[in-house]
Amino acid sequence: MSGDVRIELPEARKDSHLRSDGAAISVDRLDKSYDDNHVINDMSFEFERGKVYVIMGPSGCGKSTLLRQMIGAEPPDAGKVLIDGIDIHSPSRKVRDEARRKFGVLFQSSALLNGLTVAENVALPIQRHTDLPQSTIDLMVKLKLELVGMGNALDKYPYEISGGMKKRAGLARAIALDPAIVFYDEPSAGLDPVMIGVIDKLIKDLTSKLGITSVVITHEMPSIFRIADEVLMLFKGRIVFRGSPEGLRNSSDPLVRQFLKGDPEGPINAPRQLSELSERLIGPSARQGGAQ
Amino acid sequence: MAAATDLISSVGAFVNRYIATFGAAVRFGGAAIMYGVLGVFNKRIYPRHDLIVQMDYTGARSTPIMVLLGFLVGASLVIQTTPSLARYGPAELVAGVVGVSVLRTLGPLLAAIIFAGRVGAGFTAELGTMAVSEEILALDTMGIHPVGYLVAPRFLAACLMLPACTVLFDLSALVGGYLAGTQQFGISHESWMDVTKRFVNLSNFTFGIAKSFVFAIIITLTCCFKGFNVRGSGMEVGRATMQAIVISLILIIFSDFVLSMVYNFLSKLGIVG
Repeated sequence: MSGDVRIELPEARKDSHLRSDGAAISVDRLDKSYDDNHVINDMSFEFERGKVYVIMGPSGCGKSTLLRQMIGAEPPDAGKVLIDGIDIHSPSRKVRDEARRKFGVLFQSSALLNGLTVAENVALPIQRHTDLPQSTIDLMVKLKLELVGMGNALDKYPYEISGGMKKRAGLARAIALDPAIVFYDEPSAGLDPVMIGVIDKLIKDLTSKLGITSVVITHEMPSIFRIADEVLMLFKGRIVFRGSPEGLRNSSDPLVRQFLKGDPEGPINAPRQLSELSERLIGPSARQGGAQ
Repeated sequence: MAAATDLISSVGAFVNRYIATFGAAVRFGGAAIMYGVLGVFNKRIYPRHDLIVQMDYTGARSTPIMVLLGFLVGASLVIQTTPSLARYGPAELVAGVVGVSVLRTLGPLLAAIIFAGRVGAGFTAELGTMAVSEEILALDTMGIHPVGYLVAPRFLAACLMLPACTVLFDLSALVGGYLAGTQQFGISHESWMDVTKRFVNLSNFTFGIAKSFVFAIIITLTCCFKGFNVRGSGMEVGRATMQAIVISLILIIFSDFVLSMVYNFLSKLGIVG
């Protein structure tokens, strides 16, 4: 008789196919093509909470496309991305918005709204998603900006501040709603080494002090070894390496070795691109003539 | 055989692309109208301050150019028409010609063309730049509907301000025509007003204003849609702005033609004056 007892799942658990309680981010058999270009190829992985994950790889390997899939900016051809167990590509805007509240994004260009001051930019997601009084929002904004060392630039417009300050203001906006996850798209692009160090320290501090899961897309090798708990290297839409920074440093994989050394010769097809370039510059006949 | 297959495939891809763009434009327009209306009641969709800013940009700042060009159009219409009219009948009739043509067609049409060049181009360039610098994507990832936040206040402001600009343009053109007629051709004030009253009726004015409302919808949705869909570099912003203005002008003139046909049809049925 007891074998016939049926247990009803609570309402929140009925969509259990969308839930994956252990992982902060779960990517399952993701596929994305643009015309004939297969950019993401059947990719699957999971990211645990409270760690810094770095995604790296040569240009055109699918890093940016993967990021766009993970933040729900464009739908995949196949597969699924779960953010804290919620499908970011759900057909329901309500579900997508619920997933979006779980993360913040620091864009490569910072993407601050130029018509708003730094403080108004940071306040925007708080005003949109909470019923807090303006005085509380002002206090939260000040705290977030002080956390990134921008407490003195509240009333400045984005066009009045430097690239590094924009990045920090963008980061303050990304963490405005205390998200569980922060995505960083090339956070050190266009910054000087000192400012790169400042941003790296912020990423590390936010992860350790606030327990945030950080996903960083970068090419910057010193940054990778400074901040990463785990590194994923992509090549031709697939993961070719996953492991610790130490493992990356000691890897014997020729792809990894070439990328770390910055060697133009190797399995990453720089020579083919170079030959195409020389063909464009001097013409195929000249090259053939030269070979003869 | 292969060439025929390629041709069919190309035509299919072309049609498919245009149907997809049309579908996206309809969804975009629907969202803009919906959020424009909802935003009146829900301040979270876009800040009220943004609506005021957009009304200032689209309306108040368009005032000088509308007044100036309206005045010049009215005056030149009288200067060019009166000598021809005078050869066949009383020159005072020009007051009626100016009144009807300005209120019914020239006013709404020219005000919309100026509005498209000044405001519509600004919408495409501004939103295109935001798209290129990932600001629109940033709004989306913050769970803020970009169409609601960026397009709805522009849409609402344009729908309120283009009819207002058209009224200004009409008035300036009528004043310009009146001054040219009375000062240049010696038509008396009494004759001018008498002919105007006989030719012009309220439906000329209301029809013109109704048209300007339709033109505002066309300009805002076309220009904002083109701006939202800019991809790539800043160069694409310029290209999208040019395309937005060309498409807006074609749609404005085409819809003017259709609305004029509808007006004439309703007029024959005695529904409008």
